[in-house]
Amino acid sequence: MFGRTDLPPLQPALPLVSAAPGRPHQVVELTGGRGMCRHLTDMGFVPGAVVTVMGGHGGALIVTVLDSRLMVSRGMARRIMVRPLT
Amino acid sequence: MSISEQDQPIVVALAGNPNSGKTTVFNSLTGARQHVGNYPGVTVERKEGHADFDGHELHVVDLPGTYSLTPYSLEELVARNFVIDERPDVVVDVVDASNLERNLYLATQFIELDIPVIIALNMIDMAEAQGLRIDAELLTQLFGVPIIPMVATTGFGKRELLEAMVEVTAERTKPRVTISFGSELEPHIASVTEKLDDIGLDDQMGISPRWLAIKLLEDDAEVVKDLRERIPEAEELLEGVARARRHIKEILGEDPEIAIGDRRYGFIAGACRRAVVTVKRPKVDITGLIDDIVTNRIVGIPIFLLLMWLMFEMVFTLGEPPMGWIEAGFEWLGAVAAAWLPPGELQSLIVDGIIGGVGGVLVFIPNILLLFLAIAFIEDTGYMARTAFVVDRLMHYIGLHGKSFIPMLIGFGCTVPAVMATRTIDDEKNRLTTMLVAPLMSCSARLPVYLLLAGAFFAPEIAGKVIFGIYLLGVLLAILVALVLRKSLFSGETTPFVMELPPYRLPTLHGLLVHTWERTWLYIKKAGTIILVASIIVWFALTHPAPPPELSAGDSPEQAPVHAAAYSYAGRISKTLEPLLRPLGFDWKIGTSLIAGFAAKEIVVATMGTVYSLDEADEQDQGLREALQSDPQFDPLVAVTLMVFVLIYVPCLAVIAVVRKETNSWKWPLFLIGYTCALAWIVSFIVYQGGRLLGF
Ligand SMILES: Nc1nc2c(ncn2[C@@H]2O[C@H](COP(=O)(O)OP(=O)(O)OP(=O)(O)O)[C@@H](O)[C@H]2O)c(=O)[nH]1
Ligand SMILES: [Mg+2]
Repeated sequence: MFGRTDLPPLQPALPLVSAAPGRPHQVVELTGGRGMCRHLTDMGFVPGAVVTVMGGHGGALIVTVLDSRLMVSRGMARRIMVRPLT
Repeated sequence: MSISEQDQPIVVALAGNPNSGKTTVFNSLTGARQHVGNYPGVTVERKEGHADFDGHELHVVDLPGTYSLTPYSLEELVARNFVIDERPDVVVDVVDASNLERNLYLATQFIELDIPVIIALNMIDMAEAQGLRIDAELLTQLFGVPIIPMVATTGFGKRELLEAMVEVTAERTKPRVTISFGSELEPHIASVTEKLDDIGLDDQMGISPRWLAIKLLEDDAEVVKDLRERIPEAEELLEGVARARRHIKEILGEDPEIAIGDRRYGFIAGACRRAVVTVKRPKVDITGLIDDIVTNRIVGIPIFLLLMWLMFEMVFTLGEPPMGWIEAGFEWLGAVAAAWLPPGELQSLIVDGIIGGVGGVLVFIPNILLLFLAIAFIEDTGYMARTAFVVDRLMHYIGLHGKSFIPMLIGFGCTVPAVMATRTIDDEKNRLTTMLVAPLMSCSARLPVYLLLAGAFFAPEIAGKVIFGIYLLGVLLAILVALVLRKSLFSGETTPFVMELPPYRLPTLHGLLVHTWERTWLYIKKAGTIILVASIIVWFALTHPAPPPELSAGDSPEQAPVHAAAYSYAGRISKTLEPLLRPLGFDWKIGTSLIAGFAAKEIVVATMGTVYSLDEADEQDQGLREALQSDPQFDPLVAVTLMVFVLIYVPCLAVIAVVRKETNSWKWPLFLIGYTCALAWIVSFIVYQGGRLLGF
């Protein structure tokens, strides 16, 4: 498995605010204060979870995670690091 | 079980994620009519009720929604503390079956807590509509607790739930499953649990030491605080916990609380893979489609404004005809009472004080009903939560975020629940700011004042727009005051936040009617109690003391009531306030109404009803509106100024009391009274003097 070369190179992690809308991403890491990280975990943004940005331009974002829609403020979305799923 | 134990009612706590249907279950069990709505954070306080089942007495407690037993905001803390501190006999975790994985996250924490728990698998109908089949039996095995499929809105599964409650309580059945956190975490959990066992904390707190150990590793502030208060060895123990946390972080590369959360989700995902089958996905994602439109960057705000405008238009135009009928009814009643009762104090009390005062308020029932219907519609469809999104960008300019808008919208109905709803705002400064500006959102008690004045001085086509304008002014002032507060008293960063957006639902007719009626009934009850008492007091203050005969000797029939009122207590008080009232175009009659309106805004209307009823020298029956029209003191500009004043000044005593309770000090309620009175005067002054200058 490790020897395979046809796998695309790992895409760099980016904050959720910059994620392309409509494309599934995977949570890689939560940055920010401890209380906030726990809250994000409780809300479903656990590393490995799949999130998709569904809307929001300029203001807060609408994302789906764990099969439900959440409104995420930009400040929060900056603390959630994601990577596009291929 | 001994007899005495059986005599005690079974204490059942209804817990679960926000918007999972806890209150609907509560209402179904107890027959209560607590408020439900399709947005998270409807219930922010615990509500208690009773149910009898099969010879058992149940004491049911409805809790605010929470995502976790480690709370993030105030209303979550209420839920957490009830379960942990008050130890109900059984916890019913109400989960939304159509949103299963997220909802089961809290369930895993109840299992960790090792207490008698039942999972009510609510909204099975929604899950089925989404093409999900849930094997409840298998899920029961995997989670080791009874799982009861149900539909709270129809009562499906209610009996089974009640049976399970009785059985679990009788046998004190605890979860039969322990969720494993994996080889890296388990040794640490075990070692902390062991230390807790050694201390003998189990007996002291009656809480599962394993749960305590997990919460300590998650660095749960409440548990740490509790521990420090209870045991002397706390510091030593916490040091060990800190070491364990560091170690976990080293080997896993992530914070323990994230790792622990991750294991819970892993357990849930595993269980759901086995017990949930997607039969067929619905073809269209209706919620997504609606959201694309109503949350659109360009049309989102216009749609919101349009809906608000439609709401007030409807309240005014549809409410007008039935309002006229009720008004005619009271006029008739007044005439009958005046004809039957001999002239004198009693006649005056009944005709002027009670029929004039209370009747003046009851006239507006149709409009109030329509307003509440519109609000219920916004709440039940799921649009409520979207407004938070739509205005988020705007709110950021004033240093608040979209979430603050929900309490403000609730304020269109009543300011008291609006103030309480600020509990869902986790940041203290944001919360206080929202609480202090929420009263500027015009509540239903102020609507009668606008309806009366706009109806009397503007053509029907314009009156609705004038009222809408007053509401808008309230919103603008709220924004302005929030901006000032955030720049001065409550400066600081806006805190980031996450909020769940529920799927849209078609409200049921029954649900809408219940909501509308519940609130309208409150209005009617208020008219029959507080406003009745206030009307009698106001009547007394307006008619006593009577001027001595030598003073009123030469009065013509037109002058007599005017002199009598000016001589009365109310007249004297208002006279002293005259210098303040004059610049706004107000006379002593308006002054009296405004003073009485301190208690509740409807009383402004009631007082005017009494004042003008007393004033009717010729005993000719005319409605309050006609009476206002024929008063030379009034003109459209005075009417608008008065509406503006009533919009802004002191909400009402109930609001003062709830702000006092929610902030736990007198400072903020007094501040609220001070700033609203000052602001009301200033804005009214600008409106009136500006209007006169412009030639109105
Ligand atoms: N279709 C369907 N809708 C339901 C069911 N149970 C509740 N609802 C609806 O779900 C929404 C939320 O219900 P509530 O009872 O207010 O939820 P809650 O858990 O008390 O919410 P919070 O107090 O905000 O935590 C309401 O619109 C209910 O009418 C159900 O079994 N089926
Ligand atoms: Mg509720």
